[in-house]
Amino acid sequence: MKIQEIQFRKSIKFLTLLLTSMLIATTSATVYYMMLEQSTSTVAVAPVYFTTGNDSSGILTLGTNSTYASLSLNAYPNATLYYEQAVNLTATAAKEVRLRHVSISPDDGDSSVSNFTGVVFRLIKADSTQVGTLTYTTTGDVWNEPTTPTSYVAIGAGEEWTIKIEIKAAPGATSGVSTTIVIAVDVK
Amino acid sequence: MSRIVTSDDKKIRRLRWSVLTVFVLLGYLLQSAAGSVYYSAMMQAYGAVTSPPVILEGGTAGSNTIYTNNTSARVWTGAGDFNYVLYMSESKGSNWKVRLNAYDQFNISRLYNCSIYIYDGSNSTQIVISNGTYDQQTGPWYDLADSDTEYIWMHVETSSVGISYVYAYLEILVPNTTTYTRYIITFEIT
Repeated sequence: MKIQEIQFRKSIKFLTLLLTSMLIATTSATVYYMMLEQSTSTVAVAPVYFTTGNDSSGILTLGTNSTYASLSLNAYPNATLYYEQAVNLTATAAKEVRLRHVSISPDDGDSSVSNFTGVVFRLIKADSTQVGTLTYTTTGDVWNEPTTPTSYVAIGAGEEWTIKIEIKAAPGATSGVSTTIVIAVDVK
Repeated sequence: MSRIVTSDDKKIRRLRWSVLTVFVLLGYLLQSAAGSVYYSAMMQAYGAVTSPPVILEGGTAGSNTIYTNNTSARVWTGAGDFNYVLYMSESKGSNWKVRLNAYDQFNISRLYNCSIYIYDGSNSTQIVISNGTYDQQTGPWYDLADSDTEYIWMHVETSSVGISYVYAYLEILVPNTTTYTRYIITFEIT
């Protein structure tokens, strides 16, 4: 059957044109976006950044501009240790935030993994409401990592939230064994 | 009755398609741009296993089991006074604050009077059950100084035969912070 014989052939031509245009537009838009970002980049203070909490003394190191935080935590065998305010989040503009798993070490299969029972990160609002949790547990030498980020939650300008951390080592855990967990605080 | 298609009708149809195409393209582009506006602040948490700050040790009254790493325990008593049911020793060379916090229970209605204390020269009343209900479920913070050893003692009166359980945390606080650890202590009272 020839295309000329198809009823509404003009519509089909338009549809073909539309799809082709979208394909071209996608490519064009991507390139244009990257060019735009480069040409308008300015140094600005991040509207949501890390600040110290009640429990930060001696465990928290903030990076330049406070958009990076490094924490050094203890883990006691067969007992849970709670850092109610390990590190805080301060907002200077209304935004939305969430917690997202990035990486954990040592890798699955490493015999030191079983020295840990679990690590929990809780995102707590200024009114003490918990709005997100990332939970890490172990099964033998395998980590059970959070597979999805927490939901985005609105944070108001001037608000200070906190990240609470709970960490527990297994009974009989060996002193000195360590784990490193990297999480992202996504801001949009 | 068939309608006569004029050249204006054809123009309007073409225009309609053109407008629709422009809207679809605009919507597609704007959606792509909006989804890209965010940034991530990174946080790295390094956790290392270390020895616990306080060590639980068995006392001389009642019976007890101290579990692995001396960070949890089980205590058995009947009715009477039980001094030294458990010891707690500071082991990190620092000052701490400690308290007992009853977080669960079973069959405590038969406990006419069950009082649990921390003692080191003076009493600190931590948990009180009177006539089967809590008068005090969480104790006040009590100083545990560097290298100190303190002990837990109990006074128990029962109103009937049976077995009761009080599940408590020994909470150990870093002074002037909200950093604390919890040891589980189970009190089994016959």
